[in-house]
Amino acid sequence: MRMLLASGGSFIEGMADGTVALLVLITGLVVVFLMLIALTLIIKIYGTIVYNVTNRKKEAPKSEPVSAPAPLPQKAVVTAPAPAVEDGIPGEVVAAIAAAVYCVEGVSFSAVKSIRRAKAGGSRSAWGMAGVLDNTRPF
Amino acid sequence: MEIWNGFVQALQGIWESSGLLKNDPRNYAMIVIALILLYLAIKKEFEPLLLLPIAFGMLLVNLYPDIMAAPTDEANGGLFYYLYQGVKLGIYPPLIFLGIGAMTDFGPLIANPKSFLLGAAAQLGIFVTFIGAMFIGDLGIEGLSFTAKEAGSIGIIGGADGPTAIFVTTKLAPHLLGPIAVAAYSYMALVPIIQPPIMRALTTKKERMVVMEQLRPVSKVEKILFPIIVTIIIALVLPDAAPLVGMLMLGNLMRESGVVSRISNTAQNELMNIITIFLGVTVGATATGEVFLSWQTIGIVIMGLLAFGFGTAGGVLFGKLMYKVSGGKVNPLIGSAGVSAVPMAARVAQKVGQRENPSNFLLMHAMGPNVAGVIGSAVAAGVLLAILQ
Repeated sequence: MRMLLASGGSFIEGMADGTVALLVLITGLVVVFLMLIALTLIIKIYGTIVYNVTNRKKEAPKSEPVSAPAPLPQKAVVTAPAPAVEDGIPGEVVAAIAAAVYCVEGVSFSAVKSIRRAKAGGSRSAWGMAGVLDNTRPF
Repeated sequence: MEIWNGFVQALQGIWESSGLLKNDPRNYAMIVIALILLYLAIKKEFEPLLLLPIAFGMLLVNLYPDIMAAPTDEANGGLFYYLYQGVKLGIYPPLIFLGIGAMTDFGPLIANPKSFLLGAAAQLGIFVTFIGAMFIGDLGIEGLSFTAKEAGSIGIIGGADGPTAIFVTTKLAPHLLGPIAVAAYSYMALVPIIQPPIMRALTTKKERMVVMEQLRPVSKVEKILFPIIVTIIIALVLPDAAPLVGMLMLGNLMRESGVVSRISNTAQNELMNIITIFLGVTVGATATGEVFLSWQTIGIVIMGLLAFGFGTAGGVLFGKLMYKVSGGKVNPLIGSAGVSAVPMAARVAQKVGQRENPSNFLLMHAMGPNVAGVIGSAVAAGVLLAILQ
């Protein structure tokens, strides 16, 4: 390809305008598409690899605390009243919500009494909307 | 008496060297155009960061043409002559790309690599306009015809990327730099006016209301690898695009690596601002009355508008194709952002989408094709240079 392009200036000079126009149109679109399709595939492949590797690393240390539960959290569970949690909300989510409320409320926070799903107001959850707004604010 | 004669002679010398006597009438027409552009930049805020220095450079060169004069054996050249070397030698556009790279987050593109295809489709305007410019001479208007190299420089306006347009024009048709740069930046400022009617005409209400799935989070490793991989591939296959893409990706690597925040900040702030000043005033200074006021400029202005229109249409139509293929998961409006003009074109996609569905956030989805368009137009520039140079 480089050889063809290197002599580009000279081989175009003898051509009719119509031929040059078609040549540039076809070559341009084909090269731009091929190049960006190649990038699409490569980014997709390495993205998948990196994503999987990262996720595997994150999952690995998770299994350790489960096998050997620490006595301290057990104590905490016993002393705090269990919140009324709607069906289908896993324990991790309850813990995350309790931690988030504690972060906001500080020392005045005593306990989470209940957790239930809010009715979907739009196409996106309140947390998703907050994330989107946070990301798009600079624009 | 001798003092009086000397005084008169001195005044005569000043009068003869003044612009009032030396300037061509066309320069005064250009001064009016420069004042209008200054008004648009200051009052209407049309791309003011570039339009203001461009308009002032245009004003200054038409008041005092020698500011662009080349050096002679007896005298040095004008101030802008030396600053212009950065444009002429193709130095400023890649440096601007360095700053753009340091400012750009390619995360949305990495999260949804299919956006690359929209960035490619939106380059349609470049090549369609190239054909139009090649055949505009057939209209038979005297002075309105373009060579293949000039047509290539006009077509690249459709890339909606100022530095790319300047880079290509300095190599293919440097004498058209003024009108092409002014057309490119003016249309980029007018993207919110040019694009929405085309976007609405080519899509249905149902398509415009599509809410896209949230993008997956992108890890730091992916973001660091991205500029390295893109540089290797594009510079190897299409070396003519290497100065633009290479600097874009260097800036991005500086940003994403996180280890050179000082130079990353310099690239996206001080360096970018300094180059913008030099680029703006010297590009404006190429727009002298003699060059600018011609049928060719009118042709360039019309062809530039067509280039933007076709680019937008190409992106939206490919978006429609992706909408069909994906079973309605892609909002075709994000295709319009593939013309570059970062982040203006993405904001336009967001606004048009939100008008149909107020809870729809297309901005981050549109940023993918938007930054892909920057890479796409640099690749298209490389193709034009490889064939026409």
